[in-house]
Amino acid sequence: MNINTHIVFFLILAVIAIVCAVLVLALKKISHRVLSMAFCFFAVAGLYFLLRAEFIGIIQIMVYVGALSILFVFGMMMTDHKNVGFGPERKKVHKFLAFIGVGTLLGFMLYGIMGMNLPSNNEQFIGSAEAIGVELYGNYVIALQAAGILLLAALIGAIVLARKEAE
Amino acid sequence: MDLLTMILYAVIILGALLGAVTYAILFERKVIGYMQLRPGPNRHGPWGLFQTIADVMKLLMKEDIIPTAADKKIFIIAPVLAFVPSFAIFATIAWSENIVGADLNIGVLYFIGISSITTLGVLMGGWSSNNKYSLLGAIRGVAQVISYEIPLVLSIIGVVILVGSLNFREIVLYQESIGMWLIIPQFLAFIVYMISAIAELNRSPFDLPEAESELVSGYHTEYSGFRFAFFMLAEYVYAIAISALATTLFLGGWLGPAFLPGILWFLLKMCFFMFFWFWLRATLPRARVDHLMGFGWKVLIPLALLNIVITAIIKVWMG
Repeated sequence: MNINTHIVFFLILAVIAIVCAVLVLALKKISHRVLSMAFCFFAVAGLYFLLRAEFIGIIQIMVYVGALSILFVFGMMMTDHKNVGFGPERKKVHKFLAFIGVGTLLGFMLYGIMGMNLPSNNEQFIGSAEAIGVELYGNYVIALQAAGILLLAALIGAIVLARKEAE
Repeated sequence: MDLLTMILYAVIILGALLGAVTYAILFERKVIGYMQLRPGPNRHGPWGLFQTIADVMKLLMKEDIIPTAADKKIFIIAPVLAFVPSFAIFATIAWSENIVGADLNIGVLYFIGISSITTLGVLMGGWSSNNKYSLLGAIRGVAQVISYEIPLVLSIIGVVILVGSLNFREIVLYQESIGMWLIIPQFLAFIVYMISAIAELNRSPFDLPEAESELVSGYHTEYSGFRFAFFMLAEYVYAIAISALATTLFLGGWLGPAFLPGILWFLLKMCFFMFFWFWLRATLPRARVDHLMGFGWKVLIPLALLNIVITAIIKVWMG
């Protein structure tokens, strides 16, 4: 793929990701929000594929689209899904201040990204499954195990809490 | 490959798939017919060859009905969301040594990851119909697919450990280099794979999500016309895709005696698997839902884990 198609695909995926992320906030029904969230994750996975980080891209799809969205849908099914607002409508001053705060954050982030000095090496790093596996189970094996135990503890904790409520 | 070849490849695969699904349905009806000592469809065309085409025409010309209580947008998107991934997974399948779409180095993972999106389509379809049977069918279907995805993936890991690669072409080339199909060293994995594949496909004897006697055909109760056709299409395309995966992983892909070209061997092995699904459907009664879940979690997952341990030990021992 030459550089032009690359940019075209990047723009399409980036627009989808941003639009879907905005829709998650803007839409009214929770089921529509969940679906647009899934599409947002999907577009981000597409960006990873574009960067030749295929492994991370597919993990993004498996974990976020395949598992997390379905978890959200289950949550939506099991609970009462009426339109619940967060208190009364905000005041004008409040909205204005929030806008300024978000704008400043965006400015700082853009400044950081523009000023970032990346070392330019021609050798393209391709995050293959093998390279990631060797890193994870070689260099970072203890961190990986610790993360695993943490997740296990969270899982058991969730089950204990759910059981107590059921009784 | 440049963009034009990619699009051409995708269009050819789509056309071939539509044709394959059309005749897979006829094949299924004929096989089950002969097993039950009746001729099967034989009115339209010689040997009933135009039966499915007539059925599809009927579905396409039906009135487009959307229930008033349904969540309209999701109701429309759901069949698409169910079908698109089933077609997308064909990108990585290596039909022959040279005929392959995207030669990804994570082919197997791509296959499993993309196919898990269909669950979202099924769930959304069942939920947006606003019908209790649809919702029950969707929840059952998702519970079943999620539980059986684990043994399916674990059984594939045995193959991946032996081969040391997730690429479909390299898996087949490895089988060529050791001179036997992986079904022999990975027989346990093959059994686990076959059982969990049937549950993944929602085919009989594990077709609980659409058990017509109790759930009025499950998550697509409210769907009719071409949206229903989309769900059916996704189901059959998955049957073909899972057969292709089984062929690549366990039956040596395009390998075979040289008097036929590789792609024909691949298609023949796929047809064998398709016949196997239909054979089971004609033979076995439906399993009960609690038995199904218990079997998946208490028998298949431990067996698959055992297979991984044994394979890893053999791999280290052989060097």
